[in-house]
Amino acid sequence: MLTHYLVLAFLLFSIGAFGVLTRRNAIAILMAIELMLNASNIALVTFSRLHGNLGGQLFAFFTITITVAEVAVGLAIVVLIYRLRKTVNADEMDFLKG
Amino acid sequence: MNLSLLTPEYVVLGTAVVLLFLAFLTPRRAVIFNTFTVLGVILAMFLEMVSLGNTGSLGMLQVTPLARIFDLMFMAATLLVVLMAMDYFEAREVGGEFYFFLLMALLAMMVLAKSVHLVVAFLALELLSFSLFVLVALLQEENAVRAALKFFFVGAYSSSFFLMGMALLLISSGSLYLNQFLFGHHLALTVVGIALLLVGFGFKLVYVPFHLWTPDVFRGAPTPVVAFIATAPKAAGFALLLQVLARALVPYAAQWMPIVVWLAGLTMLAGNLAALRETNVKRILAFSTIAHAGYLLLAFGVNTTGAYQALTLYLLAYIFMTVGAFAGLAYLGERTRLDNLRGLARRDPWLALFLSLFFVALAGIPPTAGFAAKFYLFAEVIRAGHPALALYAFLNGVVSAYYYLRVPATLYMYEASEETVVPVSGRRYSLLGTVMWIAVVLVFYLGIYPTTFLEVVRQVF
Repeated sequence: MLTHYLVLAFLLFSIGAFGVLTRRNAIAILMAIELMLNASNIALVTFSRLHGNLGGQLFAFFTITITVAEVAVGLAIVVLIYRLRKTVNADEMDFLKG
Repeated sequence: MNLSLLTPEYVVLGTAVVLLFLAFLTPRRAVIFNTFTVLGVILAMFLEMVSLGNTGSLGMLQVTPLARIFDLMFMAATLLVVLMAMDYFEAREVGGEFYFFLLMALLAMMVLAKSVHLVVAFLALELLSFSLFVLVALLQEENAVRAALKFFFVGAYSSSFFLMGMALLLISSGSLYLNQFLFGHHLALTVVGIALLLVGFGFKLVYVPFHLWTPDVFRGAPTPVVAFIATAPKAAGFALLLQVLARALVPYAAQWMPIVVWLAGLTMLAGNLAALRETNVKRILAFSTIAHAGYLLLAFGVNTTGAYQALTLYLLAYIFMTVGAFAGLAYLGERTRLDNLRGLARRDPWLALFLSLFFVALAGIPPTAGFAAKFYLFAEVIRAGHPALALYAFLNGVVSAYYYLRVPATLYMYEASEETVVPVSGRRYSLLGTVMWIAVVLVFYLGIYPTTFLEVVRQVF
């Protein structure tokens, strides 16, 4: 039982972690990060189920709220980048030397 | 439940909220916001010092004397950055929001240093990260926004690793309280959980191989914000690492200690070697932050009480040296290449003197705080039975002296050219000067009398 949940969580987490590294569009990277956080939520709920401790579900609720705040801040920064450079390509964040 | 334990936190929160209302009422009165923030932080510091012995548990938060000492460190760094911001942002449109987010970050760090519950620790960590993202982007200038984008992605990515690591440790330990972890089953899960946590910490505390974002963010963000990011949140991160590794995960010390030793060794080497080739002083300081993270990690590599006491002294010294160096750079605005510093000693002898002192201190030359901090840390490493490790760290320090001392050399040994910045002199920049005076006095005080602070730390560990 435990392994099934955990395998699902690991799969989602890996897909997200891989997506962040390969995607170049800022919005797509944000979505990949969401995937990673939701994988953690599954693991947190698994903890609740396994130990009969509702703290894990509570933690998941907090995580969902934090994720929303994170997206708000992230999108604000992406909008600022779009205004300045007319693109949402994540390569914009790399600096030349000096 | 003794709620008066958190009085300093209430003061910081109250100041922040009132500030936000003030920002709506009088949008562009930087002097009011600044004075108000300074008064609020000084009051909080005073209350913290008065209640140094007032400790206890509040369930999810544990107020220890050590946490109070860390609080004072965060508040000192914040105070210096607030003073620095006043002069730096004078010509630009920065409202009360700046100080609000600074105070929120301070509050988050104070909670972080006390939290023994995973939910509270994660919430505080995220409050800290979000405040820092906004602070970097607040100027809405092109470089700053690009730095903010990078900082945001790195921060969010690392938080995901952090959360996954926490979730796995939860499953294997069965408790949300850091001080009630029960291990025994699911060894594999515990090890993977620790590994993911270390990845998350790696991004936050900038150690190898997760350090490469720092130079770009430091280069692009406004100087006072960089001075803040480089100091107080690092100290908060190490305070949390202390809670997690040295308290909750002690049963697995045999597993994580060798990993941390390798991480520390590689981090100081990578930071020092990369800094040798840099020509922008802000980027040099970014790699210096990485190298210092390596030295600080050594304390976890040997995992003794003495090493953790030395770590606390090192963090304090590091905060004052780094804030001081950035205050000097704040005079120069965005022109922080080494070319811009050439021969500055003839144009502005005081600024050149202060900048040189901070870089000499960062290089770890006596009688400055940098030397005392390194001396006590390496001595503890030797005492723990790792003389080779201490020698390796010392040799790293010798390498680092090259790029640190290149800054004073550039300031004094060249003629000024048209590239050299013309510093704005006069009373306009009096607060920046004050910050440098405070930092220089403390750097020398800690360098000459390090035992006064160490005695305090020894009593609380």
